[in-house]
Amino acid sequence: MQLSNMLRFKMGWAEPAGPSHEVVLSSRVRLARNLSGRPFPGRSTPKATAAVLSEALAAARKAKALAKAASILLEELEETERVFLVERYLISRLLAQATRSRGVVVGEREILSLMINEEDHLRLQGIDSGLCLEKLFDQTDSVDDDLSRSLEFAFHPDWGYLAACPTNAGTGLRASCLVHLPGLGLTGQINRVLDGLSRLGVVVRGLYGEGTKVTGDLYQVSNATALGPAERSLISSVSKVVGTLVQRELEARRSLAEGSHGTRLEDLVYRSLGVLQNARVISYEESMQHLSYIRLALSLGWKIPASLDAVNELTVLARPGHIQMLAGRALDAGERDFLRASLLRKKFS
Amino acid sequence: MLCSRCGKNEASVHFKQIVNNQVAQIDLCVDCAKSADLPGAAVSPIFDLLSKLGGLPPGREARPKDLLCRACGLRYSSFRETGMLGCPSCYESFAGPLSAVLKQIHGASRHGGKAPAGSPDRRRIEEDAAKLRELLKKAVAAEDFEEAARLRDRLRALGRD
Ligand SMILES: [Zn+2]
Ligand SMILES: [Zn+2]
Repeated sequence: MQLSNMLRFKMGWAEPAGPSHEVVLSSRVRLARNLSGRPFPGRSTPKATAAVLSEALAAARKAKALAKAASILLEELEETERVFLVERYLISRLLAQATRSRGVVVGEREILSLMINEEDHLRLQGIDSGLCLEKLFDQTDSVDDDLSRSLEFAFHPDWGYLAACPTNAGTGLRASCLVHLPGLGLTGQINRVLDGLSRLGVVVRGLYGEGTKVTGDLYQVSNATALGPAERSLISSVSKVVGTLVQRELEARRSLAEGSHGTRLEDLVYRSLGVLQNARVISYEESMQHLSYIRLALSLGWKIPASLDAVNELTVLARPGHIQMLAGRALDAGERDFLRASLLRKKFS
Repeated sequence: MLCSRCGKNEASVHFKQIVNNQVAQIDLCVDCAKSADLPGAAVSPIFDLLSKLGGLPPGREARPKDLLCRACGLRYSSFRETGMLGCPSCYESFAGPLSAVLKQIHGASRHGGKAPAGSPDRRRIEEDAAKLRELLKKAVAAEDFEEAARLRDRLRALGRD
């Protein structure tokens, strides 16, 4: 399979269609599953790992929602292609590193995907636009049921689904939302708001999973625990917290756009537009900060020569692996910054 | 601006980081940035887990004897180092100390969610849910709304509302 073909297709979550998409860039639901009686991938033999891969691929082919999915074997990919898949939220860094007998099944519009032999035998994921955790759980839940008809999952009556790391035992669920909070950042409320979240059973991370770095005012909010409450109850807690964040962010955005503040915001936005339209060399970090202000302006309905879906896509397209995929070869940082700037100029012309 | 770590060199790497649910501005020189947890570098949830393991009250774990999982050969001491178990049977082999660990991590020790299709646990959940739905219907018919609300909560707890 030619991964560069994927560049021509839109990622489903990037389409600004879901509820509260002006603040919630995407929602993601992940279920961790393991086969009973087999060592976890980290302690498995090459032969056992290969067996899990082929059984999992066969089971995925029988799952209704994955009928048109593409199966990708990591060992057949170049390094640049693996980075590309990490950036598209389809595989983790861990899976990109250990490639032998590792795979990923990618469904239509890249909404459903299944990582095989990551930390756990199976990591089923659903990702889509806006605040839509319930819908994504319905979808992954039914794929999970289909898979469990061909595979015997490790399950304990008290501890639920057993995972390689006990933090994932129980439901194996992580429900997370990627939220865009430039308003709370600009009004200086972000720390007070995030502080309040730690008591509500959620964890806040930066853009790419476990990292703590904040890029482009994007934050990932997810459930802190996975064992005890039923999946739908864990999901509704995260949805509630995110719903509150959406309200606070929208209030902050309105106050930023009013009166004398309005001119300052306008200045910030149009300076960012100027950079994106004119820069000859730009890093990912810097482009994300400018894209953040453009995204804010678009959500306020300002007339800017760009669309929300283009900006959503650029948060991924401007990443190093995507720039290299566009060039068709590995590039050094200087070359990437040059190519990124010309990509952005084209998108904002 | 000087590097916030060594305080000697000019800071040239700037980024924001979430520390304890707070956004902090980090300014580092090139040398310190290389040795620091670099932006984007994966911070595994295992660190968090290990700090929780370290926080377990002594004596609640089988310390004198290092437990062994016969199915995969993993020792409990090795799990304490990495935070990773070797196979599903590890949960039985280390059941004593692990139940304390799970309680510590999740604040709960009983799974309340779904079970694999066709498993006895799934059948039990379906039967319980069917019974509750039946009772709910009766409660609604009898206009006992307090009871109905209570039953709805129980259905929700089963993930079957
Ligand atoms: Zn320094
Ligand atoms: Zn074991």
